[in-house]
Amino acid sequence: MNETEYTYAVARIRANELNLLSADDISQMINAPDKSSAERILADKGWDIPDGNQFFDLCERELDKAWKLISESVPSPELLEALVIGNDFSNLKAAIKCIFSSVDPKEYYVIPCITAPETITKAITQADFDILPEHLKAVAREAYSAVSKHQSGQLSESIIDRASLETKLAYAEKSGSPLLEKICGLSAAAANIKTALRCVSMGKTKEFALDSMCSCSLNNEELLENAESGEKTAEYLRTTEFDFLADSIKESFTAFEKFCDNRIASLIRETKYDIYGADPVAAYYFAKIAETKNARIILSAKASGVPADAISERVRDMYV
Amino acid sequence: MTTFLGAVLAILGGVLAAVCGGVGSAIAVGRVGRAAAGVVTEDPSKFGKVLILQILPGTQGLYGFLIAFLLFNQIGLISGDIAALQAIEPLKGLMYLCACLPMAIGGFVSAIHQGNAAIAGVGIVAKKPEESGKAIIFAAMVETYAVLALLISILAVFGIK
Repeated sequence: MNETEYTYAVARIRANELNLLSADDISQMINAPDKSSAERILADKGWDIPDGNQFFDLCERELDKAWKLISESVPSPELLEALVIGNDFSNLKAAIKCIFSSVDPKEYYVIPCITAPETITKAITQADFDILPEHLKAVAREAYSAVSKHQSGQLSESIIDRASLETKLAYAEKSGSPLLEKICGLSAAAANIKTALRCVSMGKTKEFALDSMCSCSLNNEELLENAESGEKTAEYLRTTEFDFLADSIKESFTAFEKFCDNRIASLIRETKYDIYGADPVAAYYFAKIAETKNARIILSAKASGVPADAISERVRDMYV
Repeated sequence: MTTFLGAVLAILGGVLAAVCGGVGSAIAVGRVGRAAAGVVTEDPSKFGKVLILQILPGTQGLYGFLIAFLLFNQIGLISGDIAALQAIEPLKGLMYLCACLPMAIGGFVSAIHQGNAAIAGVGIVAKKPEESGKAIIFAAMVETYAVLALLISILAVFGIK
């Protein structure tokens, strides 16, 4: 698609960026005396805050608003579905888990998503996978059979996680957004690194580990061979294009995840002054993800009385 | 045909100046319009500020029209003076064509780039409306080159005897 087709969307995004949380807002939230004061800062920025009679996830609500804005602004929203397609797979996971445990999955579904959660519920309840869209059909059948035939919830989850990452990568490739491709590539590599380390530490077989990893620009076999410890993985990563992840993986999973999020924040900041193309639109959605992640960290920390210093260590870099 | 070759070349020059300037302006004004619509969707109070930015790349179309009008008047096309048109030698016609090229090329290129600067300016208006004057200046700087192209084309058209 011609990059100038995104001019309208980029201008709308720029106008909406005024409402993104800044580093100052985050710092005010961290230093707020309690959870409700922190929520008031979010309300001032236009967030919907549930009152006593309402029950909804305020972060999901914000991401849903952002996706709606993107869908109605860009010429072909289907090209940017890589941004939210992962939620379809989370919903599929929730449906399989809940239906096999006789629990209503409704509360566990996340938005925004591409496939209506009701369709997923119906498909899993009736084992009728043909009603699902193409990207979910095969994986739903495979994950369902992992639970129904092999009673392996873990296998089912790893099948869905792998399909989710691979679908995101495939959708990002067709999006025409180099930023989206780069971020999905980074997420896939980060997920494989974590899977390799976990599988080795839990003594899983090589076949299981390789089956759980998606195809990305890293060589999965080599990664697995070097996943005995964080140090060894770091050494291996230094020889790849993901050398910048080496130091953080030595520290801890939490540090690694935070570093990946901060890396995404620095990538999206590079598009701050672009006027054409899908990149600024994708960047806005990733900025909203970072924002909601921080809001979730701060609000739950406030609810449990965690001191401000400890919260500051966990929050991610902001786009604004 | 040979009798009118000079006139045809001269008219082609005027047409190029008008068409290239007009097409460049239409593309640029259209693009800035899309960006302006995006900002106004979110905040209708910014209409006036973004409208100025949208108008800026429209001038190249006017300049092209002006060159074409002056040239057609000069060679007698507007008055329908067939004898004057026949009297234009091919070399003179070619000179008129060349005289129009600065406006045709300069107009087209400057309109597209002024459009890009204006779209970036729309982004400034979206985020910092109090800085809209600076956004207009950035886009207006590109106008210099359209004006220079216009001047050289005018001087050349009137300089051909």
